[in-house]
Amino acid sequence: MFTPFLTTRDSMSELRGLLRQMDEVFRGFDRPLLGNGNDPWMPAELRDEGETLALRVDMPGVAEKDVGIEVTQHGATIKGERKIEPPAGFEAHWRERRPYAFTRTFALPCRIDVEAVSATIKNGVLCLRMAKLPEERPKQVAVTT
Amino acid sequence: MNNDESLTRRDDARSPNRQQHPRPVAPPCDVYESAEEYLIVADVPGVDERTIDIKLDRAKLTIEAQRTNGASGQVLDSEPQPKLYLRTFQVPETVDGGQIKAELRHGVLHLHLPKGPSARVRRIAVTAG
Repeated sequence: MFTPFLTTRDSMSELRGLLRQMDEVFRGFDRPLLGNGNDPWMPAELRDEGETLALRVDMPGVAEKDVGIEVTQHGATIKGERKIEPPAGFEAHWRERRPYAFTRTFALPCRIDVEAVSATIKNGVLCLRMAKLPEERPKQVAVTT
Repeated sequence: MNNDESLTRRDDARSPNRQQHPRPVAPPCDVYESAEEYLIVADVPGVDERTIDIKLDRAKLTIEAQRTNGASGQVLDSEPQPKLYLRTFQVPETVDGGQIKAELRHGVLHLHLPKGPSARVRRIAVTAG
């Protein structure tokens, strides 16, 4: 059975998840109905590409130098921060985008080769591509008569 | 800009194409002003330059952006990602629509709206009589 993809960041994670779901319901309003709105929402997606796993995480405004990644055979941890600096010479009228720091740990459904991991950020989405260990890769089985 | 409420009216649930498109999500935005221009900054992760549509109809500015999904493989797990971003702003009619510039960096849209000549602040030097 597939291990839960998203591991807890802390003991409040489940409650935050619930608050987020309620925010989804009330998304038409300008402010979150519950919660302080400071918790970054960084949706993630895990795909099986056959010989590799691809983990994508939304992180708009996060520069490559502000992200740190650690991988083990069974999981990946992503740490980073987003800085928001008002542009020089401008006065702020309305601010919804917030600076934040984040740490997320993801459990992987199979073992990976920690030496064969690549990470890129494109259009504000981190893509972590991890090669499965050879024994975890799908194998073709020929049907014989 | 006129006032904060008119700047940030959201169109999420009122899109006429709601049935054909994914549910629009209002991206978080910042609005800044300088002597020369207004600047709108919006988080639109997953979007590339080709799928952003910015329209200015008199004083109504609409930003619509579709998430591009070039990913392959089988989805093992995912959290809800916005597929369509939509946000409308009421901007002053003094904005020079022909000079609007937009750039995308790290999934963040920067929209520069220059003020027309009549809206720019001028400093008047006082001379001794």
